[in-house]
Amino acid sequence: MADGGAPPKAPLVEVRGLKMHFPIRSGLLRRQTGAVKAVDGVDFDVIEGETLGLVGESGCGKSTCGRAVLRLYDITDGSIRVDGQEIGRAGQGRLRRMRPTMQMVFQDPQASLNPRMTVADIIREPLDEHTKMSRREKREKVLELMDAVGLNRRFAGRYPHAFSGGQRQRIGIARALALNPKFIVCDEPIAALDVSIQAQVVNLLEDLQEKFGLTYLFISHDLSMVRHIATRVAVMYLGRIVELAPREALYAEPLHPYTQALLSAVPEPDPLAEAGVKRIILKGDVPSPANPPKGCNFCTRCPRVMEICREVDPASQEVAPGRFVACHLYDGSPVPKVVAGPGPAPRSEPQPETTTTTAGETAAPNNEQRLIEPQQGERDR
Amino acid sequence: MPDGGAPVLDVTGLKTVFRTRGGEVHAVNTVDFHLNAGELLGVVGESGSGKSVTMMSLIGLLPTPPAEVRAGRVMFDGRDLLKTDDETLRDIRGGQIGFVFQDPMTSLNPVFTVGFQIMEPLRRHMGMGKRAARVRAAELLDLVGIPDATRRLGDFPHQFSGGMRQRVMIAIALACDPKVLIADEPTTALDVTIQAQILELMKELRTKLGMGVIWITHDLGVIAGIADRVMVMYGGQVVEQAPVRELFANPRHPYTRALLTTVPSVRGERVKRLTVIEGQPPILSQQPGWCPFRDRCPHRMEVCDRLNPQRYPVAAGHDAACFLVDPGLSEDYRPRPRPAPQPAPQPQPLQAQPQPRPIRQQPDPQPQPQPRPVQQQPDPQPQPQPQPGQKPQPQPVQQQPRPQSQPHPVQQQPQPQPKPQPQVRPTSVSHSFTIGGDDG
Ligand SMILES: Nc1ncnc2c1ncn2[C@@H]1O[C@H](COP(=O)(O)OP(=O)(O)OP(=O)(O)O)[C@@H](O)[C@H]1O
Ligand SMILES: Nc1ncnc2c1ncn2[C@@H]1O[C@H](COP(=O)(O)OP(=O)(O)O)[C@@H](O)[C@H]1O
Ligand code: SF4
Ligand code: SF4
Ligand SMILES: [Mg+2]
Ligand SMILES: [Mg+2]
Repeated sequence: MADGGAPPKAPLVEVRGLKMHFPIRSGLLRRQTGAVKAVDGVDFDVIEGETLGLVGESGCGKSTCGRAVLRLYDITDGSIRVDGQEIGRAGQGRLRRMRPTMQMVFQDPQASLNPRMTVADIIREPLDEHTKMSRREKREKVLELMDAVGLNRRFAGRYPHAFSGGQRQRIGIARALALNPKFIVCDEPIAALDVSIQAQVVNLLEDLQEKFGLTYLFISHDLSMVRHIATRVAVMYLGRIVELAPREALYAEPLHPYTQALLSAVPEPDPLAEAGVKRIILKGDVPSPANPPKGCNFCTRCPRVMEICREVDPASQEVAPGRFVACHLYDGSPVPKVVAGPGPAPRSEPQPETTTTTAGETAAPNNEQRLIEPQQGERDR
Repeated sequence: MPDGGAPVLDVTGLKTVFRTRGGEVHAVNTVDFHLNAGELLGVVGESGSGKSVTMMSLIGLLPTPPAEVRAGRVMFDGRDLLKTDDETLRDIRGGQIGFVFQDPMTSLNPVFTVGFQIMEPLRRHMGMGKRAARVRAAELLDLVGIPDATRRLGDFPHQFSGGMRQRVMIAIALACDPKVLIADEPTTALDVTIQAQILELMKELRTKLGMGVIWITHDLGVIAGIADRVMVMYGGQVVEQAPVRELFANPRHPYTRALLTTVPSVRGERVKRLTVIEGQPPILSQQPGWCPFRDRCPHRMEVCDRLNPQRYPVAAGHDAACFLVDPGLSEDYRPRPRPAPQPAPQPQPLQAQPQPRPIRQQPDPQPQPQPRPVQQQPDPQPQPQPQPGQKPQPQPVQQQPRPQSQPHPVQQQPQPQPKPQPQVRPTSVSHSFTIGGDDG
C-alpha cells in the first residue's frame, strides 16, 4: 500500500481490498443463504489525468466495481480514497459533499435520461442540487456544457427521445461534467452505440479529458476500444483483477493466461492477419460468482493449470515495474519485487508503438524489460 | 451478379416496406444478392441498415402487417419463395433453410426441454420416429460440442449458459441438413471467448456439412475471419459486395472505406485518433432518389443528389454502388492495381469535429460538383492521423436535402438561420434513430 519510487503524478483514486458481495436470500424467511461475490478483493490506483481501462467478460464484476468505487453501494469491505479522502465508510452526508468530484456515465443513454425532462433540465439537475448558482448562471453553464460535448444549443428545449443514441450519450456526458468533476467512471459508454457512432463518442471523451484534465475509469468489454483510449488496463475475471499493466505492455505481451486467451479471442478486422491469429480457445464458461472455485478463480478453464492452482489462491504480485499479475506461473519470478501497490506506471518515454506482424504472435516491447515468458506449452490449439 | 457456381439462393429486386403510424419505412430497397452452394456470405452494416429485415423477408418471417414485401424474387430450389404458400414455406423453413437468431434465450422455448426442441423439426420435417429423433438429437448436441449430450437432452434452456444455448440453436438449425443456414448476429450477445468457441465450431461444421451460410454481423473482425464473400448494407441497400480479401484490401464505397478505418484493433499499430463517420444513418421514410450515404459522404457530388447509384462492377466479383466507380462518370476511380500498403498522408479525415450535424443546414456555401479525389489508399489498416497540434480541417459538409434535379442556386450570402420550426414530431435525425434502435 506504499507508494513505489517517485511517481510523476499522484493517484487520484486508491482502492484497496474492495469487496462487494450481494446477499442471496432464499426460503420463507428470506434468510441469507449465500453471497454473489461480484467484486472480491481488488486493488488498484487511478492516476490523476490517466484513463484506467477495466476489461473483462460480462458478469465479471466491472460495473459493480465502478459503482462501488463511487459508493453507489454500501461496500462489503475495503478502502477507497478519492482525492485524498477516505470514502469507503463515509456516510450519506459526506458522500453528498464528495459527489461533485466523482461522476458516472452509463451504458444505456436511453434508460439513464428522464424522458420527461428537457435536455437543459437534465444537464441542470446536478447544478440545482449541488450549487447555489442563479438561474441565469445555470442557464449559461448548461449552454456551455452543450457546446463542450458538441450538442447544438438549439436542442436545449428538446426531450431525450428526439435524439439519436450517440447524442443521448452526449447529454449524459454533459450532465456528468456539470459539477466540474475530477474523476468519471464511464461504464460501457459506447456499448449500446453503432460502430460508426462509437468513434464519435470516444473521440469526444478524449477531447474532454484533455480540456478539463479529467481522470477516467473506463469500463468496457471491447478490448480494442480500451487499447485505444486507456493509459493502463486492468483485466477482471470473476470478481478479481488478474492482471494490471500499462497498455502497451499488456497488449504486446499479456502475462496472465486469461488475458492471453481473451486477447487472442478478439477477431482481427483484416482477413490476411486474421488467418494468422493463433487462438487460445477456452473450454467451458465462467463459473458463478456465487460459487467461485477453490484456489485460483481461473483454474476451471486455464490451459496452464497446475496442482497448486486448485488449492492456493494466487496473490497479485508486481513482476515488472507497474505490471501486476495474480498467477502461480509467476511465483518466484526473478524480477526484484518492488514494495508497491498497483500504483503508477513507470512513465515510459514515448516509444515507437510495438507492431505485431502476425497478430497473436506477440512482439517484445522494445524498451520494456523483458519478462520471463512462462514455458510455451499447449498455448495454441 | 452471380458468378462461379450455381447459386442455391438468388434474390433479385427485393423491396420490403413497413407501414407505421409515422408513415412508411422503406427498410429494404431493391436488394439483389445470391448465395453459392457451400459459401459463407457475410452481411455487414450498421443498426437499421436492413440486414435482418432482408433475411426475414426471404423466408416469410416478418409480421404482415405492418411489413409488406412489395417486390422481388427469391429463387430457392427451383421456386420463388415469395410466391410459395405458407404451408410449403413453413416446411422449407427449419427444413432446407435453417436459421439462428441473435438472442438465444428468446428463440428457445423455456417450457420445453432442449431435447424436445431439437427433436421437433426432425419429426416434422424428416418424418423420424421418436427413437430415431432422440438418437439424432444427441448426435447433434455432440456435434455442436455440448459434453454429455444424451443426458443434457432432458435439460431446460435456463440450465444452459448463453454460449451453450447458442450451440443448441445451431443444433436445431442444422437438424434437417439444411442447404442454407441464415445466422443473424449469432454471437453478438456473447462474450469474446465464447464467440471464439462458436466461430471455431462454425468453421468446423461448414467443412463437415458443406452448406451455404449467410452470417449477419456488425463486427468486421468476425467477417474477416469467417466469410468467403461480403455484402455491405447501408440504408436498406447493398452498397458493396466482394470476396472478403478483396473487400478489405480494396474497398471502393466511401461507407465501406470509412467503416474499415473506424474500427480499432487489438493487434498491429494503434491509431492516435479514431476516424469518425460523421452524422447519422438515413431515415428510410421514402425510396431515395439520391445516394443514401450522401449526407455522410466526404466525396458527395452533384449527381449524388439527383440519382441513386446502381451497383457498378469494379473487379471480378466485386461491385459498389457509388458514382465514384461509375465508369461513365469519372476516370479517377477506376479499379487500379492494389498499391503497396504504405501509410498515406491523410490530410482530410472524414470528419474532424465531434459535432453532430445540425438538423437543418443553411444552404451550402457552394455546391461542389467536382468529385474530390479519394485521399485514402485502399488500405484496411487505420491510417495515421495528422500530426498532433495540427488541427484537422473540418470539412464543409453539404447536407441540405435538396429537391431532386433542381438546379441549386449558388447562394453567397448565407441566409438568416431558418427558425427552428416548432415541431411536434421528432425531426429527421432523431427519427432516424428511433427507427434504428439501439439494439444490436
Ligand atoms: N416492425 C417494424 N416496424 C417498423 N419498422 C421496422 C420494423 N422492423 C424493422 N423496421 C425498420 O426497418 C429497418 C431495417 O431494420 P433491420 O432490423 O433489418 O436492421 P438491421 O440491419 O438488422 O439492424 P441491427 O443491426 O440493429 O439488427 C430499420 O429502419 C427498422 O427500424
Ligand atoms: N444488485 C445486485 N444483486 C445481486 N447480484 C448482482 C447485483 N449486481 C450485480 N450482481 C451480480 O454480480 C456479478 C457482477 O456483475 P456486474 O458488475 O454487473 O458485471 P459486469 O459489469 O462485469 O458485466 C454478476 O454475477 C451479477 O449478476
Ligand atoms: S494460477 Fe494457475 S490456474 Fe490460475 S491462471 Fe495461473 S496457471 Fe492458470
Ligand atoms: S460519392 Fe456520391 S454516390 Fe458515392 S457514396 Fe458518396 S454520395 Fe454516394
Ligand atoms: Mg456491466
Ligand atoms: Mg438485425
